[in-house]
Parts: sequence; C-alpha cells; structure tokens
Amino acid sequence: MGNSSKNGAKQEMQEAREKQKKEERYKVKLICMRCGFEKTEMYDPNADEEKICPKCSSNSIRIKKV
Amino acid sequence: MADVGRHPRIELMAMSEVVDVEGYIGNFKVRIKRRARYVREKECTACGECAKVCPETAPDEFNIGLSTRKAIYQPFPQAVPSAYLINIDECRGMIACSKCYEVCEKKCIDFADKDRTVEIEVGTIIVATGMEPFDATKVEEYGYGKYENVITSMEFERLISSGGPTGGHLVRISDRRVPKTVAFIQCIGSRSKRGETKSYCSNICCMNTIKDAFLIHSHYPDIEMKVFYMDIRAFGKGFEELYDRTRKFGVRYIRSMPGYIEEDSRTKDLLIYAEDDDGSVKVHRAEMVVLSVGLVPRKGNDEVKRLLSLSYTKDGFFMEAHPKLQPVDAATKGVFFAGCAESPKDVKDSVTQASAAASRAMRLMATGRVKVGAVKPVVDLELCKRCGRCAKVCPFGAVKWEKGNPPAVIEALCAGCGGCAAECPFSALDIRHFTDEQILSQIEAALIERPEDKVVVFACNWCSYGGADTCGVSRFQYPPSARLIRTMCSARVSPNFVYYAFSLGAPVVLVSGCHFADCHYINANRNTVKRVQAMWDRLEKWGIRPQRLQLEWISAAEGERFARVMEAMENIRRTVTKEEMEFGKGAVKEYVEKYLKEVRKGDKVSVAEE
Ligand code: SF4
Ligand code: SF4
Ligand SMILES: [Zn+2]
Repeated sequence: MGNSSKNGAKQEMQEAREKQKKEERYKVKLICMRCGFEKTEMYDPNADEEKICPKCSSNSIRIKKV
Repeated sequence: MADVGRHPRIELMAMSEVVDVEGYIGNFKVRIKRRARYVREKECTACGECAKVCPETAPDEFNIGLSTRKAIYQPFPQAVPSAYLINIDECRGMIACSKCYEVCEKKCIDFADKDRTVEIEVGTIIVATGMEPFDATKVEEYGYGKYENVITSMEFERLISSGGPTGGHLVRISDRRVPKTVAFIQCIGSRSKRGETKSYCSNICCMNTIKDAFLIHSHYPDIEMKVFYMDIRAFGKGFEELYDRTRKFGVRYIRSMPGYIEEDSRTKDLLIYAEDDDGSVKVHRAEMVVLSVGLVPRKGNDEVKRLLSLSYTKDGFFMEAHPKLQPVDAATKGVFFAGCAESPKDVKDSVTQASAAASRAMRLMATGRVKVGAVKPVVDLELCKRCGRCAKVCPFGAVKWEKGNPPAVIEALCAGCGGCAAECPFSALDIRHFTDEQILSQIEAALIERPEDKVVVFACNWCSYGGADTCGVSRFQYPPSARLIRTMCSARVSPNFVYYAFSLGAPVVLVSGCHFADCHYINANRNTVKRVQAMWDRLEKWGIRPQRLQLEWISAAEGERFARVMEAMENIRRTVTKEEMEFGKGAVKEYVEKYLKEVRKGDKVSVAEE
C-alpha cells in the first residue's frame, strides 16, 4: 500500500542481517559434562536452542571454540 | 467490524504500523506510523467512481491474484473504514493522469497526503497480529505454482465465495469450467519435519476441508471428492457430525499422503500418486487439487516481539505467560494475545481468546492500579560502578541505565527473575526476598554437616522446583544427597553462590531451571547458560574439575526426569575425592573471601523509578 519500495529495503536489511548471522557461525567442540560425549560442529550463537547430550540426555553441554 | 468502526470510544487506525513502544503497564507510549492514503478517509463515500476511470490495474491481493483491481481501490468490499486508497507505487500521478481527482464529486483525493507518525498513550496492549498461510511452493512435489489446477485452500476460499472473482462459481483456472473431480490434500506444511514445513498441527485445516467439501456438495452435488489425509482431527463441537455427513454424501477419505502429482498436459487434469492400503501405488485422476495449507507465524512478528519484549514458543508463535493459568497474558505485564498470533486456532477459539484478552485488559483499566510483587532489585550505590550490565540482561527492559549513572528499576515492568543481580560483577545488586545473604545462609545450612555427602541444587520456582514436587508426589525414589535451594529463576544463580558452595566443600553443584520454551521470564535462562559456560571455564582455570558443576532443564511435569537427574548427580558426587574437595576449597578461597567482604558491607536501597 504505497510502501512496497520501503518493504523492499526492509527485506534487504533483513537479508543482510541474516547473512551476517550466518557468517557469525563458528566451529566448536560440544562436550557433555555428565558423560563426556564429544562432538565437533558449526555453532550458531544466535540459534536459540536447548543443548542436549545425544548419549545421556544431559543439558550440561560445554561449548568450546576450536 | 462495522460496529468497531462506528464505536465512539474505539479509534480504528488502518494502514498503520507500530514503530515504537515505551513504558509499562498502565503507561505505554506507542508511536504509530500512519501511511498516506491519498484519499480523505472521512469524506470518501466509497462510491467507486474513481476506480472506474483509473487506467492502472494490478493483481487483487484479497482475491490472491485471481482477479485485478485498480491503483485506487478498496482492499475488500467489507473493509472498515469504508474508503478508497491509492497505491502510490502503481499510480501514474497527479500530473500524468489525475482522472480519479477529476471524477470525485466530493473532492476527497489528496495527492499531497504524507506518511505521519502519531504518539498515543495506552494502558494495555492486545497483540492480534494473526498468521500467514504456509507457502505451498515449498512442497515442490505437488506442483503448486507449476500446474494451474493445483490451488491452495486460501485460493479455493476466494473461488467459492459469492464475493470472489468468479461470483462463487467453482471453476478450474486452466479452462474456467466446473471440475468433475476435486481432490484435497491435507497437512501441507504441517506435521512434517521436511525442509521448511512445520512440525505442529495447524489446527484448522481438517475442518476447513470438511466445510469446503460440504460447500461444494451443496453447490455442485455431482462433483466427486477425495480427501488425502494422515488423520482427520475433528474434535470440536459438532465437528464429528459434519465429518460424518460429508462421508455419507460420498466424499472419499483416503488415508495416504500422495508422493507426487503430475499434470496431464493435454487435459490439464492432475494425476495423484498415492500409496494404497495394501502398499501398492495407485494413480488418482482429479480435475482440480486443493492443497490444505497450514498456518505459520507472521513475518513481521520479530519486530512486535522486540518492541514489547515478548518471546516465542519453538513453533515461532508468541508465548503466553502460562499455558494453563494465564493463556492470554504475555510475560510482559499489560500485554495480551488474541487469535493466531499466539497459536493456530479457528474463528471460535479466536473469538473466545479475544474476549478473554479484552476482559483481562478491561479489568486492569477499570481498577486503575496494579499490584506488583515484592521480589525486586535493590542497589548498593557505593558498590555500583555504573557499568550498565544489569540493564543489558533484563529480559523485560525494566532496568534503565544511562552512562555514568546507577541503574533505575521500573518496578511495574520488573518480573523479579533476579538475572540482573546475578550479572552484576560488583555484587552491587540484590533481590528482595532472595538476597545474597539469604541464599548464602541456605548454602551454609545445606553443607553444615558432612558436606561431602551433599549435592547443592539450585531449583527455579516454576519448573525444576515443581519437578521435584511432582517427583515426591509421584513417589519416585531419588538419592538423599540433594539439598534444594529455590530461586525464582535459574538466572538468579550468581556464580558467587556456586563458588561459595565449593568453598564450603560441596562436591557437586547443580543449577536447574525451565526448558527454554517454558522460561517464565521470557528468555532469562539463556543468561544462565552463558554464566554456567563462564563458570566451567573459570573452574578449569582454578584447577577444579568443571564436571562438578552441572546444568539441567526440568519441567514441573518431569518428576521422573528429576529423579533420574538426581541419580546422575549422586553418581558424579561419588567420583569426587576428598582431596579434590579440599583442593577446591582452597582454589576458590581468595575469590570467595573478597566477595563476602564486598557483599556484606553497605546498604542496598530501592532504585525504583517513580
Ligand atoms: S548495579 Fe552492577 S551491573 Fe548494574 S550498573 Fe551498577 S555495577 Fe553495573
Ligand atoms: S529482576 Fe529480572 S526482571 Fe527485574 S529488573 Fe532484574 S533482570 Fe529485570
Ligand atoms: Zn552425555
């Protein structure tokens, strides 16, 4: 309604933000503080998710940058 | 809607966007951007003469592009306010055209109209931002967007509506003829974990299809109908009866999710490949396919979330303060939800929730005052170094801080999680009724005798403490080593409490709280995670085995999980040697002594903002 160009700009900003977020991902080692299970993966600090050990289902997951 | 438009005490702001919200319950200041309409809303009688002469056409959004509209138009016939508007991006402009201007007898076209921002003061806010239909192009195998006669349930809705582009005649897009066979495919975008689909049930689609089948049958009794489904969820009042009636008049319900659809290029009919009861793949021919699309959160919700300090459930809809006891309240006081903003729901549930939200808001405004809890931060102005870290972590934006000043707390906004106090690196903040002194005393009491046999457990009021209760009530057994200390939120657990417990010889400390989606303080427990991560690093630096500090999310319903976690804690406790405990005591000694000296001096005073 008269603002599609602004919406376009907004969308571009959003996309740029998302791209930046993607670039913020880095490699980490996840270590279970209960059973010792270890896994290396790309970590997204902005992902709002509960960490859980696939072996013992503990939430004590230490995140170490590698 | 028309009643709302006419109501003397309701101001309807169409074409408006909330750009900023400040303040708190009873005292919100809301800035609203009102987009230019280019037609004087109050004077326009919606006679439509302007649209007749307008030379510019565009796809009609209301009819999902199935018809066209002009650059000057009314979004839909029942729109309130009943006035036209110009999409200025499509308009040729005053100089090049101005046909609408010339034809409008009431002279309500105003090309000089501009966007403007207004500010209003309100006591309460109801978020009713709705939902969006799932984008069916994301499920490529059904050919939506590729095959003309594959449409979505939203498009079907417009096709069958008497006010729609075909005047209510159900026709196929390819040849504008009434189809002889219509197939519905359920759960498009719902109850699946593939690609961009959603794992939740969208709640309305089964009944919507049943209603659509009913409509088709009443208009065109000869059309043959098939519904492909996983389960039919017809649990509302009168719903099962409606489902039965459609079966009786011949709708075939086939329990199978088709693998893919192909188009017969000659007839434009659709060939649906679906598994039969015996496992063989059967091809069903249909002249039209309706994809029953699910509901997804609105794209613009992030901005609303930010402005009002709200949180999402893992589905991406807004999270209520409590699923059973406060189902229409947001965690931010004075903010309520109505309709699909909170979760997918049908009209009846939306109306029920909207009525509840309106009465919750009215009750507050009629009272004119709110009672706030006493669990609020207090500050030692001498210890405070004016760093502002407390303000950064408050999920409610209740701590106001300006460079060089101590924090000020808006008590009506503060929910009392205690996260600010745990964040303060100088122990300058404390929380009434959950003060450092009170918690330290509880730690001392827990470890006064045979500390080596104990596990210190910090449990949050709402979830993990509730989990312990459920565990007890359900008579689940767990080792007697646990000593529970209740805090309102796991975010209240200051690293100082953990180190203090180690200084008194605790072998294991557990910090526990609500699962992410259940945090009663929006997202305060994300700060708990950050603090525990930092504590693991620090413990390691001090030479203390980081495993002696554990973190667990336990909901109030997870009594059994609580018992299992306590068993795991007991197993870890058994691995901690006397030497380790003694070493730990020494390693944290200097830090703890310094902290105790700081925290025990001076006075903490209220810094409530008036
Ligand atoms: S109370 Fe603590 S965290 Fe807040 S400004 Fe003062 S020193 Fe910083
Ligand atoms: S107690 Fe929680 S809600 Fe209150 S000011 Fe501190 S961080 Fe904000
Ligand atoms: Zn594990």
